[in-house]
Amino acid sequence: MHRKILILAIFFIMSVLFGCASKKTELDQLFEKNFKGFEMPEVRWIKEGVSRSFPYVTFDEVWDATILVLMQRGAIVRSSKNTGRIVAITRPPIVIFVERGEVVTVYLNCMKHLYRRVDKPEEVIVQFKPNAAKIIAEDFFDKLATQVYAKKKWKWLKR
Amino acid sequence: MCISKPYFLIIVIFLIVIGCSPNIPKSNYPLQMKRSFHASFDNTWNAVLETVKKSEGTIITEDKSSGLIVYSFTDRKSKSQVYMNVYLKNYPTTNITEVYLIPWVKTNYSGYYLERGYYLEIDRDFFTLLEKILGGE
Repeated sequence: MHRKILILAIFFIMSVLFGCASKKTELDQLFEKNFKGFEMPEVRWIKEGVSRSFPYVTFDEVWDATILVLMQRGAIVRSSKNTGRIVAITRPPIVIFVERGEVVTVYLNCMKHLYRRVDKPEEVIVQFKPNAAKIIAEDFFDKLATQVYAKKKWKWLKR
Repeated sequence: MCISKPYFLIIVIFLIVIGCSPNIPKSNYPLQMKRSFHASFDNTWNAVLETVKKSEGTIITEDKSSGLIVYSFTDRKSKSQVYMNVYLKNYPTTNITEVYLIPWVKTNYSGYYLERGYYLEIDRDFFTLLEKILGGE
């Protein structure tokens, strides 16, 4: 009888321990290190995401607006005006590339891979719908357009 | 029951107008979390860095050409980790610098990580300290 109880107790403790095993993600690790050593994704990878062009405005205007919109969506953890890249911890974390040119183009890609478990990289703890990146990007670009063109569109009224 | 012609037409027009209304993106912009300072960009930038130091914060990223400083600190009351997005907008001709502040608080909800919360207090503490540092120059 005592043996049975002991086996049951061991089984119970083991299941509790394994059940509560930490599911630490890459993002958890980055938070623990205060994002030290975190490197921004390559431009080529960012360009595989969703893009939108912003005509009749300068790079600086789009860049400033990008910061204002992003900081309202999460903490910005990397920013380089020089390379045109910026990373914000939203859900999921996103990276933006603002491309200089006659027409400024903004690219957005989602860093869903940061939800991979550290001990089991093949397992992702937060799943997103296949079209999540597109939905997130469309919403972001709409807000960015509002911010960029807010003072532009009605310029003619001042005359 | 029969609906007379004019009423029927009004209903049809109303439905068409509602159905064809453009999808205007919802927006809270322009941002309201800002203060203006009669100080140069450089002085304000240095004062923000001093504020971070006095708050025992850790810089996560700083990009002077963008006017962006992001730092984190532990809130003494809640023991939560707070992430502060600070953005400085330069107006060189008027010697005015605008400082935007958006704080985020670390949560324990899996996958969410950050939420906007109790920022009025954080906002007040940050700007009080910044004003003091800028005023002391």
